[in-house]
Amino acid sequence: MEILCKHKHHKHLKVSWKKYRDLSDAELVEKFRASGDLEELGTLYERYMHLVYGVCLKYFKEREGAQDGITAIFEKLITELPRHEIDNFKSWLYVLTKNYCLMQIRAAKSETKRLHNYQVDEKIFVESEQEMHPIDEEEQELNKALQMCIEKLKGEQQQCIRLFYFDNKSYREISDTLNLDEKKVKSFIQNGKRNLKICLEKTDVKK
Amino acid sequence: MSKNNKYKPGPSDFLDYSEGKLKGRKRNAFERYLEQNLFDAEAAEGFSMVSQEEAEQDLAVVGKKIQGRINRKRRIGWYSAAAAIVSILAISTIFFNVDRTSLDRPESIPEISKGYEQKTEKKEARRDMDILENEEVKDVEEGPEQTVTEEMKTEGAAQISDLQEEFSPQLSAGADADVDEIVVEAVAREVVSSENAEEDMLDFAMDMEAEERMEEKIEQVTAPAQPVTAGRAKSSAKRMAMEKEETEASAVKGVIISADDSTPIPGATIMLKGTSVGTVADSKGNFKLNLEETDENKIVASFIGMESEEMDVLAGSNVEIVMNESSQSLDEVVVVGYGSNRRYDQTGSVQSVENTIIGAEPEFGLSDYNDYIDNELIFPISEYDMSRAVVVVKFIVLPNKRPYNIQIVRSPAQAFSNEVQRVIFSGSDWKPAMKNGEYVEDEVSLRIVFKEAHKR
Repeated sequence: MEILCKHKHHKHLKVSWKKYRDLSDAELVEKFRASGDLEELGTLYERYMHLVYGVCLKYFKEREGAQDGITAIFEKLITELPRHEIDNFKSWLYVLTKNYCLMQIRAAKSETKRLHNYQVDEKIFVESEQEMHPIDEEEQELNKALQMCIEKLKGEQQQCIRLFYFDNKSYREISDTLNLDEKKVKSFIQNGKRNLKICLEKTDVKK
Repeated sequence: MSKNNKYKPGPSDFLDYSEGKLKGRKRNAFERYLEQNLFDAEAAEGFSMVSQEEAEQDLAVVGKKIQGRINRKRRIGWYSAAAAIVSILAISTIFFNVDRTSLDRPESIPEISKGYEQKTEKKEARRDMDILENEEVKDVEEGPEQTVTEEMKTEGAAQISDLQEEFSPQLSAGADADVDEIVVEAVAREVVSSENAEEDMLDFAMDMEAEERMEEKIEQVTAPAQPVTAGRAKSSAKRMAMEKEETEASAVKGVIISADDSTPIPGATIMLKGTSVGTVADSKGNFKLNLEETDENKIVASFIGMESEEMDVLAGSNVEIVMNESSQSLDEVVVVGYGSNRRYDQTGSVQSVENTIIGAEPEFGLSDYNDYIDNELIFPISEYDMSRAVVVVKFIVLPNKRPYNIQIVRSPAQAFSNEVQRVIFSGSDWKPAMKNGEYVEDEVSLRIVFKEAHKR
């Protein structure tokens, strides 16, 4: 398994990243909370700005709106970050971004006044960190239980899982090989993972 | 494979991916990362809409804007700091010159608000709260602040001890003592509430005024049971007195546990039989239900998948209700819909349009929606080993296809409510209801069942 280590320094912001580069997200959040220094927030935001851009692009389907989104969300961070207890900055930023996008779309679409009363409370959507599915962990040593469960999967689910996780094939390659839509491939992989999880839990219970 | 070299793609990887430059294993690695990180996955979808140059351009432009914003704020920061120092020097001279018991003092405090940054206010308020709890004052980061806060500290402490002195000689009956304590607590509350970052110094000054006025009034009052007039303090004192009364009224307390393993059942419903009075067990299975004035009180405990239990109870008692699993098999469906205009008219071609009311339904059908929820739903992490939970939610489907005013009708805990709101909110559009061929609003109720499979 090749070692994939990429951590490019995105110099879109001229912040003195040398000072903060090695700090974790959580540490930067704490620092910002204590000092209110925007440079610290900027460094943190810089790490994920491209994700905010991507998500905004997805929802607004145009670049101007996405650009505005990035700056608007930065402004939101300045006021909101100190007010919340945040376990995971990235997840929280994701929620913030998504809510912002949905609200913008809603505001654009709305004809009725009533829609203005709809309040989106960020707290509502805070997601807990995704639990790692055993198969997504980088460890390739799968125990017997997992092997057995994979064998129990239905035809296409099993094929897709094997190609994706064991042969490291991309969605595109799998779709070509099996002659399936890329979306179907993703769906098989996701459903397959879910079935594996259920199967693994059953074997755990038996133990 | 060492965990230190964790794969973490950057923007250029996203661009490479969407332009098809990533191939084979690298592509697979990127996709596997997307499987685990929803944020990146959605962003990748967005990136597929622009070219490398466009994205780089946009990010650079925005980067500059934000950098500018950061620089601007820092300049302002310097100005505020300078203003703050000047104000501090001014205030400290005032404190030295003015008599401590003078009532004029609070008026000078509003001047502080002019130069202070929000965080300075927070620190001061927090300091006062520390005093009330008799904690050590934390070290102040900026030197010049110290003179001011120490003055305020001694002052605050003096006021509190003054208040307590006033109260103690007037304590006669036990009941009166309660009311007095309440008032003191109310005072503490007032100061605590000023910790709120949004409140400015003026509110804090008002709190201090309230304290002052209370001191005055207490001297005038003869019957100690009469609380004071300072607006908020009075109403919160009253509120607390009322709350105390409620707990003395007839109520039954208890805990609901499961027969198999004696674990609690959060979210179980406990109703007063024959009424619509009820409550829900908390995360530890505990509940408290107010009873009627009669001698006979029957309560019914119910929970999905369990057999309902009835029990006679007496006021003031503490009960343990054990529930057994229902012998009925649980349905496999995750989502059951109840539209208020539920009739899905399948034979529309035969009937005339005038008499048809078709309820709202998910854009791609209920079965597909069920699949979506089944895939998307995440069982919230909780302290207790729940294997199943049901949330009933209702919302209005507007003619613009979006769910509006999502409300939780019944749910075992906030985390489940939050999760349900999330999936509905980010779910597919809904085909609006149609009445006589026109789109109308419709209220939809869904029963969302959390199952083992959703523990991801």
